[in-house]
Amino acid sequence: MSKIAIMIGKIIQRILWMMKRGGGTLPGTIALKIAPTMLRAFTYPKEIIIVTGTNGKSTVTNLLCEILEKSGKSVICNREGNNLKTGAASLLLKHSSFMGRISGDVLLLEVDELSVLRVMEDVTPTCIVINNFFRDQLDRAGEMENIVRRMELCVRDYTGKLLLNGDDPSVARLSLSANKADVHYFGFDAYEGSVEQSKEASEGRFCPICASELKYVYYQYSHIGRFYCEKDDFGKHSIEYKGTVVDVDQGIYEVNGVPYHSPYRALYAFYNELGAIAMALQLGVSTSIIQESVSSFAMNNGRMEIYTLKNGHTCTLNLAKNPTGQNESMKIVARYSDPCVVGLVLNDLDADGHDVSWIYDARMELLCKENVKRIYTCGTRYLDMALRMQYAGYEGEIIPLKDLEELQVRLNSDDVECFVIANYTSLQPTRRVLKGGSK
Amino acid sequence: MRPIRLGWMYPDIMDLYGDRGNIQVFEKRCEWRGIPLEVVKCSINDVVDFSTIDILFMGGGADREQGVMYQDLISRKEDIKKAMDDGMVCLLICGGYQLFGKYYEDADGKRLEGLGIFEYYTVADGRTRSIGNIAVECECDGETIQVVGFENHGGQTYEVSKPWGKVLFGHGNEKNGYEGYYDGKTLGTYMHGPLLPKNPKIADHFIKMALARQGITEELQEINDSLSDQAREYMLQRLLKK
Repeated sequence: MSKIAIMIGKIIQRILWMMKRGGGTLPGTIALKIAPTMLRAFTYPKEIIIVTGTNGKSTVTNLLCEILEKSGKSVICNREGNNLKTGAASLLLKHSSFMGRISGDVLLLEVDELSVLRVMEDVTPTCIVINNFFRDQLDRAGEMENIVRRMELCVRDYTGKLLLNGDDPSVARLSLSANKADVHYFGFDAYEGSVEQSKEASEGRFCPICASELKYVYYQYSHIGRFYCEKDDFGKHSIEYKGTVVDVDQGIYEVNGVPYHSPYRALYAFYNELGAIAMALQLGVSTSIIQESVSSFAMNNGRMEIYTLKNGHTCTLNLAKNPTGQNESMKIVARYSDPCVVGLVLNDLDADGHDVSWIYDARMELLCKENVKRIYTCGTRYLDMALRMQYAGYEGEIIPLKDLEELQVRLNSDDVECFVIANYTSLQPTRRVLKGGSK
Repeated sequence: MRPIRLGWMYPDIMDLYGDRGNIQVFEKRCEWRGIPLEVVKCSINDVVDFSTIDILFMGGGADREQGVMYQDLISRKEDIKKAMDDGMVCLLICGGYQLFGKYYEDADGKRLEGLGIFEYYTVADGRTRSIGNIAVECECDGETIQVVGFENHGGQTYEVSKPWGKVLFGHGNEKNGYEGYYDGKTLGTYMHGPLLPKNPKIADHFIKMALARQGITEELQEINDSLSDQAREYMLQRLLKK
């Protein structure tokens, strides 16, 4: 049945392609309906890598894909981020023969953290990279604890390589369940932006072994940092791929003494890169290829994407879909000292989660600075975002805009630099609008 | 005028779904009117004299973390009860609301005794989860108003002697058409959102009750709530298709 489903899926894909409909996740959705276990019927490449976590999955996946391709491997990868099981199925249908043999040396899959369990029922990866777990779309995901518990089930019998962010207690905790896996940690040393106390909504505050409160030597951002338990061994793992920030504003850091030049200027972005670097090093890629890939890397997909507006000023667009992402995006604005305006786009469609209360867990107060002259709010919940800024105590002008197109017009009429932060489903519409208002 | 003292129970644990936004609303609305307000945080093992608290606030938490603060809360039962008898008013959201009742029974039938200050109790069957936007009609300062929020709870709360309002959209206490508990001094509700930014009349009602304790009964200074009103009306329109 599964082999037949593969064939049917491939035929659907061809038809959609001929109709110039692209296909998207529809072939995979239909094929999985016919044969729910279809993914078992493919013949896979030797290396199967899964990238998961809350924030930065797409960046880790795309960078790792570039590194592996530069090293001469042919990589099958869902670069566009269709990261549910149906997306994986569509990708495999596209890159397989009618008999289900997948071309390529490496299958690299970004998988939504809630879908990993379902994907791993049918596909056994050889490597898993996990970047972080943050509060995200609580009404869809349930509490973060549920996500971590699901991941624990995924790794219980897993025997491949497991690359964990050793600075995230909720990620590092997986090593307690992954008794058969080959576990490696990556992380960053304290840098100039590290703090001893954290003001940010944090999760995983308690030791998974003894439930006592974890201690921190330093926090990097949110609950990411050097943590340990006073009563047992939790948090006493050694970091094998250790990053050291040389200069954030220049985007320079080292990993085990080897320098890397990042296109980004924020530690959260360095962590994403480090996940990809550590994985590539594990797979034996040479450091020179990795260095080159990191420095030439460009997501250009609403991740610190820069537009030059018609008025000549630059507009930086960044995706943020949860408090941690929002905080890190706003810190970039907060470091900027010249006059600027900010656009905040908030949707509450199904894929975003209908609950927008997370904007109160984010420290929107970071935008309450004199050089932030005006804040525009857009998206289906533009009024909620405007109200949030009022209660944050923002004293500049708050302008709620019902129409996204209006944002571009306003930004062009303001004669200053601008920053736009958009959540999940609002990102692509925002990109289109900004592109339309650019040179 | 002495400062209003706002007690915030377990700010580091019971802080799901933006509930901390409610504290910010109290702070800002008092600040804008020149009313002094002091926020008193109370977490595990903190020494807090509840007899000095005017408004007690407690939000919801994740199951695992709720378990961590449970013993501490139970140990404060008599102090909290006494303060309530002496006029302390309470705003309780979700987990906070549940824990002030008789008990919480989980899907395995395991019972967690609540503070038992109120008669209602909560049972989670493990299958039903009430998630989504919610709109409720309730009384506030002699006026019938409509409030909006977001609910997300597995437990259903039964035998609520004094429901707060009628559900216009969503689920509420036990899908019986009613939401929350309100007895004139304590408001317990499942409404996150957070509750207060879009429903400022509720915040003002609590501020008035706290001031009344000091014998201050004059009307509160008006605040320009047009953004709140627009945001609430927008959601009401959408939910009730008015």
